[in-house]
Amino acid sequence: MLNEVKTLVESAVRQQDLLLSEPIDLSRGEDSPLYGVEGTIDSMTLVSIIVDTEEKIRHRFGAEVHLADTSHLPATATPFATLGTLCAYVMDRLASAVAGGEAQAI
Amino acid sequence: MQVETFLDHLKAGADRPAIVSDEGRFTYAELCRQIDVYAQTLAAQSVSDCCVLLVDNYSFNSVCLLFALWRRNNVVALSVPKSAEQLANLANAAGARFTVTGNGPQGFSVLANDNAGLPSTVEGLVSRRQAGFIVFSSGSTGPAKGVVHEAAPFFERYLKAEQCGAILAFLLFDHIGGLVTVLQALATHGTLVLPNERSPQEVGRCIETFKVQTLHVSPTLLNLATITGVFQTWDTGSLQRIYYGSEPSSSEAIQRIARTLPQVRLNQLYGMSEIGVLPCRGLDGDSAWMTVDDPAYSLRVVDGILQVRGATNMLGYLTGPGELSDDGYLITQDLAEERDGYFRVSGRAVDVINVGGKKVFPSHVESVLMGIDNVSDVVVYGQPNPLLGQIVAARFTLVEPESLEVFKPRLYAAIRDVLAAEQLPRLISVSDTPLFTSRFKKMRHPGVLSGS
Repeated sequence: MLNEVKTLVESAVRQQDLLLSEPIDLSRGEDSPLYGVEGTIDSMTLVSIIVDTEEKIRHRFGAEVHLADTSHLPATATPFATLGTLCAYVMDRLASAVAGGEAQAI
Repeated sequence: MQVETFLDHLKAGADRPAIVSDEGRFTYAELCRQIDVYAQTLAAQSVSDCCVLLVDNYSFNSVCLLFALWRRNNVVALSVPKSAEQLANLANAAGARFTVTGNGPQGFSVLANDNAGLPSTVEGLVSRRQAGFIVFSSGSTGPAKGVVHEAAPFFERYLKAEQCGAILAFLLFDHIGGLVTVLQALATHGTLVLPNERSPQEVGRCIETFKVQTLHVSPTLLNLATITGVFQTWDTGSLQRIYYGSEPSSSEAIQRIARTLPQVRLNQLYGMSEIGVLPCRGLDGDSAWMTVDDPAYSLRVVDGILQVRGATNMLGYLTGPGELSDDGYLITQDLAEERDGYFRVSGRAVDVINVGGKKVFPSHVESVLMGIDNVSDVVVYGQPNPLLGQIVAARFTLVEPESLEVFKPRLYAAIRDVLAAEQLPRLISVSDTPLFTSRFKKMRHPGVLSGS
């Protein structure tokens, strides 16, 4: 599932190129900076990535994940810092959503 | 002006056609006779000097009933047919002692309501034995509110209205725009044309069949009629004037109409349940800039919000006086600009989207999105977002089916250099169902849209 999520998140990031004057640089793979100190994207683009990722997760896995709500994370967490941290964060939320769904089904 | 004076004026219409529909053709003389008959029947049943809920759709019968109820000095709360529970709620909210339901051409039935306590705004009218009416706002952005008016200022206003000839009663019977359509038609001895249903094709059929000269419709309906080919399918050569209003207009949608019907005068109006419909004059042709020449109305923009004081201002809501300035202007909560005595409305203050502290006006974004190929309609609204407060969301209906995967890149390519970053819709969806209410106004309630 991890690889599938990575592909899906990367495609959500790539989708923003349609709205930007320069494409987002992902040449450093999972270490490519997104949003933060070294980040290259603004908050609007980050929100777009989040909305598109949520939509793709819903479409592919039938699960509702709410990535913009980070209130449960430790204050030091940086889930949007790089492509890698974003993928890990999405995986974590997807696992919680799936487990929650299974628990509800039981 | 009292009801009797207005009815005397109607009598002068004599044998001219007052109301036409598939049901028949009724002259002013027939209208006045039927009003007399109903007024006598109502008097015999003691339906006088009180608040009454009138439940009906447009018909010759319902128009007669409305005037007969006014003649008996009643305050008439207007509703189209709804469930028994909904009607009971409306009757109780208005303090209606009776519910009068039209039964087609046969007449009407009367149901007493013993639970009604009269709200103070209605009590003032009833105690002075003045005819009045109550319209319930559409509730497209929240629960319906009852708006109380005295009838006399409306009689005076519409006796001075411009001639409309044959006018289609498209807006609903319980809508302020629908009510003033009746008054304008009859006060100017024009002809009220009643459609069988509210649909774009029925508008076209009525224009052709009854030689309609004037339309008073919402921009949403105009847009639908244009994209479904109504003005090409039916002979609309009789049409001279279109009044449109009731929601912030998409200039792109209006320009489509202007291109389709170059011979028709387009006249934007400004109105709301609380103030009636103001006699507006556009700066030029189809411009969104308007002014009101009638000295009975004063308009001003304070802190970006339009304020109106005029003869047809409401007496208040059923629940209280409404939001007024110290000098009696109604604070409309419509965002507006003013320039050289003209004003332009850009939307409801409550609809403004706040994206990370930047204001986005849905009507502006909609006007850009309406220009995209294959878009038949769009509603822009604010979607709550934990990072930015709100983001811009857009829900579309399309002329031809197109997948979101294909539509979205095409849309973004077209708007990325036109809209600012905060104005770009970040949440895009395509709907199979219409984006407007039964009153042909755009649904902006985020819960309705995002949940569908």
